[in-house]
Amino acid sequence: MTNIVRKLKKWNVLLLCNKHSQLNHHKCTVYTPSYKRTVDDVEEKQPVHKFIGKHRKRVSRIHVCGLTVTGALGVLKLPLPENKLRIPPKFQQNYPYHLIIDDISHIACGYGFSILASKLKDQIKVWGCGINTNSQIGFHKSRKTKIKKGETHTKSYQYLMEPTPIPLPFKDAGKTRVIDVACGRAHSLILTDKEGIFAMGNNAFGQCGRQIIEGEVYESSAKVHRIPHERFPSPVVKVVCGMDHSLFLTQTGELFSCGWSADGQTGLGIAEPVPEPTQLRGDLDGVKITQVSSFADTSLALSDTNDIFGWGSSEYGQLACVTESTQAMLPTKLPFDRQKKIIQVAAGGTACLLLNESGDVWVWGYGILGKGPNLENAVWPRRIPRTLFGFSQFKPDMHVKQIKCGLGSFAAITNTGELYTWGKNKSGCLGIGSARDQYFPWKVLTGFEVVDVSCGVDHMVVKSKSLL
Amino acid sequence: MVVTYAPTAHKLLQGVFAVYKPSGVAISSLLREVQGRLVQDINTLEQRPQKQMILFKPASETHLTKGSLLDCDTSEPSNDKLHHMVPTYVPDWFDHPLVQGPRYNNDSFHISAGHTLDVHACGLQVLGLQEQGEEILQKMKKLNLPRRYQVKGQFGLASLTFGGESRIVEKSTWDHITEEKITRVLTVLQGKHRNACMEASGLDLSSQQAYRLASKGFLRPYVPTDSVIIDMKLTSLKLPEFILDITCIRESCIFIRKIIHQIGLELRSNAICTQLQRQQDAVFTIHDELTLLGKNVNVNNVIDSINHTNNILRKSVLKRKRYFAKTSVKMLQQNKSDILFPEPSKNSTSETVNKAFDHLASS
Repeated sequence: MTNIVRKLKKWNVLLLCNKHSQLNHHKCTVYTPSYKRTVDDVEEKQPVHKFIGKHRKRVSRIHVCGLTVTGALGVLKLPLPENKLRIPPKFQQNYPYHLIIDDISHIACGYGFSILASKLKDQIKVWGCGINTNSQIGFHKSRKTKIKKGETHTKSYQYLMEPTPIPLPFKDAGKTRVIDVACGRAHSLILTDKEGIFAMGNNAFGQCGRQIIEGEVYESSAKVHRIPHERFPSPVVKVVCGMDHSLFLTQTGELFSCGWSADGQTGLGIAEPVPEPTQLRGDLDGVKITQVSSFADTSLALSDTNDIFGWGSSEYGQLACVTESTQAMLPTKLPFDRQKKIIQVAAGGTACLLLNESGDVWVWGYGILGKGPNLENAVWPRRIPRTLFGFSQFKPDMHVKQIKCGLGSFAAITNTGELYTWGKNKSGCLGIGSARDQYFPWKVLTGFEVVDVSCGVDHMVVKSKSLL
Repeated sequence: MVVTYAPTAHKLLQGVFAVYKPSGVAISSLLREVQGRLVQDINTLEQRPQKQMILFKPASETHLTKGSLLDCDTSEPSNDKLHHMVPTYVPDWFDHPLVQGPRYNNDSFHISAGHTLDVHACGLQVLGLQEQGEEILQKMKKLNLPRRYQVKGQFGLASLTFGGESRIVEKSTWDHITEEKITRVLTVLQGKHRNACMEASGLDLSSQQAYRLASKGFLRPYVPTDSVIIDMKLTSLKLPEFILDITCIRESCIFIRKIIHQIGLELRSNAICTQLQRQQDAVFTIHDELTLLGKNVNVNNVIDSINHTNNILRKSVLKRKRYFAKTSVKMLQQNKSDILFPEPSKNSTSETVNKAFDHLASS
């Protein structure tokens, strides 16, 4: 029997642990200093579990939130559960829902539909779900309806409730990869690296880049128009869709547009719809454009000389700093005082965002701008305080890295992979867990490191990476 | 200022001060020890003089010049001297310390503790002396000011009470863990707490006031809630050991140990908390000279630290009131540097922007 007496020097008090008075107890576990752990026999015999390997790859995930009924989220069981008595149908998904689909590289949200591009060189390159009334997600033969007398073509599904592979007329599918996807109101563009741009959907204003056919029926149409890279002076690097117009950005910084122009969306100075992609002039002459953005009728472009150009509808004061009328027909340089380098611009339905290299977000336009309920209208950009994005005395390195605009909602991703959204919460598209409008940036809890986000009218798709 | 007179010291010993609590000592024994040391020390100081008693004594027995209350006539006839009683001061032997015991004992010091630490945790412990101290402690509790802990943990082990002292339940590998992975896990774990913190402020989030306060700093919880983590940071990583810095509100030691356990689970491993040290509690910090070690607890040191904390506490309490007052809003409204003006601009916006940024960062 060993009597170990432990002396606590700081308090000059002798304390005898009552365990030590017992037999065969030679180690005191009560008063050992915490940083020196003593290992006894029972613990040594325990097996060591291995839950994860050292070189495990991080898995990418897709989360969706918003209106479920259109099928834009790609989850069938939310609005139409199998057992309606036990599980009530859910029409709004207020917080991010995990969509089980692998290997997605690009995401795009349109008006009630979403397109996800795969990063593999398989036959299936693009997945789509949502509203298909104008064949914006392609032709998917409906198995139910039979061909009636007098009808020449079969019917396609009008709503796709789950992500379905979109058939595209590739010449050599195994060699090309999808670089970018863009969705508008009723049309979509898919950019591949070798085969050019595939445009499908509504072409009433020439937004697909082909001639307008009067009386064309877009429902159940299998027409997919291909615009080869050779048509442009250099290969197209980015495609952007507005509501009824399309923008193409080439490698050498030239901007082409086609589609509806009544509000000057194409920026070509004319009000008639433009069926063929035409280069934009105006203030953009000779300027190399690095980034374009558009969601509804306003478009913004960023050049490598740190200038911002805007054109299109100015109904809500998005371009009120350059024009008093409700539209700008030609691209005009926006006279902002740019002390720091601007990284990104984003144009939404009623307001626009700007991001500079120090991670500050500036907002102007109309609507819920993100500076409280009192600020509804701003002609000149206003800065959103950094503390709302998580900046604090504990985290001085936190800044915003990416911004995106939806119709009435906005999203920002920080350098730590956190997603903040604000704006009009239509059908829970902000993903904050409730249906209330959010007047300042609020963090969305996905549980993963967010990499990319795309905002639509009433839904949002988030691409994230797993933590490990 | 050194106090040498015991009654003044006893009057000054009212308030709040901080003590370092070593691990392995329960709060009750800590309080008893502090009490005991104070009593021991105050009894060594100069005590109040022994009380005097008034006795009527015959005049002959007394020295007329010494101890007589009345100015006695010496011209009185000597026959009356024996029967003339004179009131005199006499030392009251009931009041002698050898009879009554030391002047101060444990009952003369009423000690209470602020937010308590576990038996196994160590670090700063705020104590309050007398009733004034207890009142201040209760006010501090309502303020919900944050506390900072330094937590040392070890990967690979999971124990019953999440700490190092209880039985190990599971062992797992930890060589896949890197600093990047830990920071990613920490940011995700904090997200829920950040949102809960802002929602618990009791304000309507679609109001202008909520936006104003959120943009100034973080909205603090006003409504009673569960524990809220404000910040978690990884300060050092030497596999399998790591050190975290956690700042939180309304927490308990078990909560923090559980967080460590959850971090281990998120990293597909296990973690136990080997040491938990509270480094800051509201305005008290561990590196302050006025945070006393056990051996340093004596009357003068405690009086010094009480004085020091009185000054600080008043300032921070006022600051807290101003935080939610309407006057602070005017400062924000006057700060117009948040607007980008068109070029050419007379005042360069970068300076004003940077000033506003500094103002926000310091608040």
